[in-house]
Amino acid sequence: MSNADDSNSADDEFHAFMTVRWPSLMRTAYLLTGSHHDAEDLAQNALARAYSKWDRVRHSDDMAAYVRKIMINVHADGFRRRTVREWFTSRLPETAVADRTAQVEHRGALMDALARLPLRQRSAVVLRYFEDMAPAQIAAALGTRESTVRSQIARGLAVLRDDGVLAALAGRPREPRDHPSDAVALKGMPR
Amino acid sequence: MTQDETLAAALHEAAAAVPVGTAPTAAVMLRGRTIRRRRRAMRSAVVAAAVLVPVAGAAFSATFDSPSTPPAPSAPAPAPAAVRVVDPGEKVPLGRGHTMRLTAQGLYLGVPKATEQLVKAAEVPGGKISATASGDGGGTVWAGIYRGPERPAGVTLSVGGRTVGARIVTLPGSPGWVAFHAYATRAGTDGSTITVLGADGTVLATLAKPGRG
Repeated sequence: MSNADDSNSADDEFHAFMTVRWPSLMRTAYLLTGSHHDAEDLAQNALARAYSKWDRVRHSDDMAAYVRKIMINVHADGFRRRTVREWFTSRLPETAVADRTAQVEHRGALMDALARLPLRQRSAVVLRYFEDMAPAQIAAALGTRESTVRSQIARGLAVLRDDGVLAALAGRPREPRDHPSDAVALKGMPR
Repeated sequence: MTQDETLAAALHEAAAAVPVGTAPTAAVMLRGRTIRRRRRAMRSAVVAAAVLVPVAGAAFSATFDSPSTPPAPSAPAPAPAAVRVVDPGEKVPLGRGHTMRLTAQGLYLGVPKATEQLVKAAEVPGGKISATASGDGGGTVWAGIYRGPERPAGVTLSVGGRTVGARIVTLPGSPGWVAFHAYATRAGTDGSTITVLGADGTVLATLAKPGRG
């Protein structure tokens, strides 16, 4: 097979991969960034990097996991080295309400609460509860220790609990905030 | 349903609400080829890079020392700057590649490698402030809107124990709001306060973001 044929074949393969994976990457990117525009930029950036070294990606054991890891790293790099945008307003943020029918408000409250988490806590929570990754997998993707990931998840959950978001999502009244944030149980987390 | 299951379901629901269009494969592959070319060029220019480092350093400094935002060492609140009146759509350089332009809608913040961000004047409550911050590890560009009947005489930004004076920019006439921008050499926004002052020094509005921990 000629180099040109091989290149066309790789391009076709990438095209097919991206078409299938695009919705999933966009959704994860949205939860990581909280903005549709930033999510699209992040997902595109990650896929462009994957394409730039497609030979390596296509020969990996798990192409989807490889690209997802690229996206997580691109996201982390974005916060470390590039542009961070943050919005402030005098308007009070919408608070969660214990109303099961108010799905849109719940989504807004959840996204607002995620936005208040530091980058690594947010990434850990999203990867754990949306991507259903084990702490060890998250640690490998984030390039950190498993114990650090467990701590980040616990702290992230504590913030969501303190914000009343978890209670609102469960349809329960908001819990008082007089308990220390660090005293959060790792219920349901694989150890 | 356990707390974990509830959270997972809520995240899936939030993610599912995101509109996902057709995969922009052509644009991504073009971007990928550019990255590949740059990577190859970087590899072949390793020796030249040693010579270029001082030049790159100078260029960085030129960008870092924004002409519109003079550095403010540990000085107390500086004297408020004069209000600059700009035409609708006129671009105002803010430093670090950022720009600002005002229209009747509000403030458009131009961010490097990203689309413009709009702070809508109509969405700022009367007598209140809305602001945005954009930056990296080297510093942060701040921009925002104060809406109120009185044109403020000064806007200050306090962050990390330092206070800098923001530049005030407005459209001709009486739009009912002013924009401001400032530059802080400190990365991050925690523990920051924006204060809008009247002509007699009265605090017209403040917007604070508490520090972490």
